[in-house]
Amino acid sequence: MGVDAESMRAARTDPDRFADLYDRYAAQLYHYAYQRVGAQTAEDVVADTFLAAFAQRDSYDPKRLDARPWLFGILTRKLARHFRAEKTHYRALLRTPAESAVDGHADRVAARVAASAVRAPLVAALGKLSAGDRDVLLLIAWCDFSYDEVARALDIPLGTVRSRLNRARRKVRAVLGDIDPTGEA
Amino acid sequence: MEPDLRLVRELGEQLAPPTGALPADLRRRVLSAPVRAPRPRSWVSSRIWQTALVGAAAAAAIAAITGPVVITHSGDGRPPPATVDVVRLASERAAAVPAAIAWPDQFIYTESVVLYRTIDGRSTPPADDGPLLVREWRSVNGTHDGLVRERPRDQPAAAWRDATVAGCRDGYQSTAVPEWRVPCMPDLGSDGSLPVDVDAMLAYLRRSGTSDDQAFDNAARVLYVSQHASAVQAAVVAAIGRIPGITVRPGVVDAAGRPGVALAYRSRDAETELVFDASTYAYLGVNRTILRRTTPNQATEPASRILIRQAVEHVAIVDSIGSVR
Repeated sequence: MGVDAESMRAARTDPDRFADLYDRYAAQLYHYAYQRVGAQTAEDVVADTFLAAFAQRDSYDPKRLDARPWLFGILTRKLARHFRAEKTHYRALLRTPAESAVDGHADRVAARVAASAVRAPLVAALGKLSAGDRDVLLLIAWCDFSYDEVARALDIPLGTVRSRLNRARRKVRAVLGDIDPTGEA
Repeated sequence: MEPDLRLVRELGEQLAPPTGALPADLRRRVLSAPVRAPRPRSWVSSRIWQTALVGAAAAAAIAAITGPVVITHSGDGRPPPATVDVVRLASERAAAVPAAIAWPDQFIYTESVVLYRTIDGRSTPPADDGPLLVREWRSVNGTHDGLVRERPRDQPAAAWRDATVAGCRDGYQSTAVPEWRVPCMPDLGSDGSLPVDVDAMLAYLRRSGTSDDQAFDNAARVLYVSQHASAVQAAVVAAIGRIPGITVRPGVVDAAGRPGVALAYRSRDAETELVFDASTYAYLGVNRTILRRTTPNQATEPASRILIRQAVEHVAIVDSIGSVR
């Protein structure tokens, strides 16, 4: 039995053992949620994810040795309920007149951007992807998930992972191609 | 990794939490026994309702922030100085500073403390991000790649978060993917064209329109990027004094805790305090509250009240990135 499966089994009778799972994965889940919806919503979504995981501890499949895809699957479903927050987050990431008054540091995101001209269409493209396509793309690009892990997290066939990823990347490339002055991409 | 995925990954890195630390309350929320108990359905529903009813929430949020948004007022009972006096003293102070010589291939180094605070009107306490220590190297002529480094100020052992600011060369700047270059404009002031005459400066601030909002925003930006150029500083401060709607706020404090007096302006979208030392009238930094955001489709929406405070602690002309003196 894997470490995660053992923690989930133990948590059935000793709820404090659930802390083991929290300590292993909270940072990863929060990191991803923060990227997608920002600080405030991320905290709520991650808390809801762990509460849902705890509620499902009795039905956790012990053959599921690695709980990470399972937890990210729950997180993804929780994020879906905050789609408006995510859309707002993406819009807020685009530089706005209200934020241009002070130096780039005032808009922290802009300050980190190596090429803001790429960021704007990229963010816009992410915002326009279907939720399913975006989930696949971001789990792979931001969380280093393998195709198999994405399939397990989202409970979809491997072929669907590939088709969603291809579709998402095609749309992203189309946006980037539009701003590529070299035409070499 | 393919170039398009690399750009998506880079975007993700830019959007990551700044410190890597989890919210202080998260562990308790998840692991404390009362919280682990099933939550009442009404609580969950109310949260969904809150995010779904953007329009209604927007109206409520706007109502909540239409009053004065006081960032750092302390007040000491003395009558506030007149705007014209603060403008004059700050402008004279700037003019008295010896001009720094900056060669095109050098960098302007700026070290500052930045604090972000988000207040969303819910019962949860405000979320602070920072204070962060930010070090920035900006190319004098704008053609060289610059660098922005930041880390929590009170965690000297923490790793720096670095971001390259691509230089603008021949109208294009590079990205993380060499194949992709994008059009760019030279950074403000990098061509040495910022005016040193007050009338010319005011015209420059209004170059893209006559609105006072835009003129003040432009002035705040010029003030920040020209800290090595005393004549420009003197001109922009004097020009600020000619923008209608400017007020004086005594008893303000900057992000580093230094007392100051501010030239303040409130627009529909934001309220900004340009903070000057209360004694010397040297420029200290900016306190800013975002009230509304303008989205790309020109619709506006209320933001959580986002307070951004930046205190400049050191400015120098240096030869290379990494040098601070």
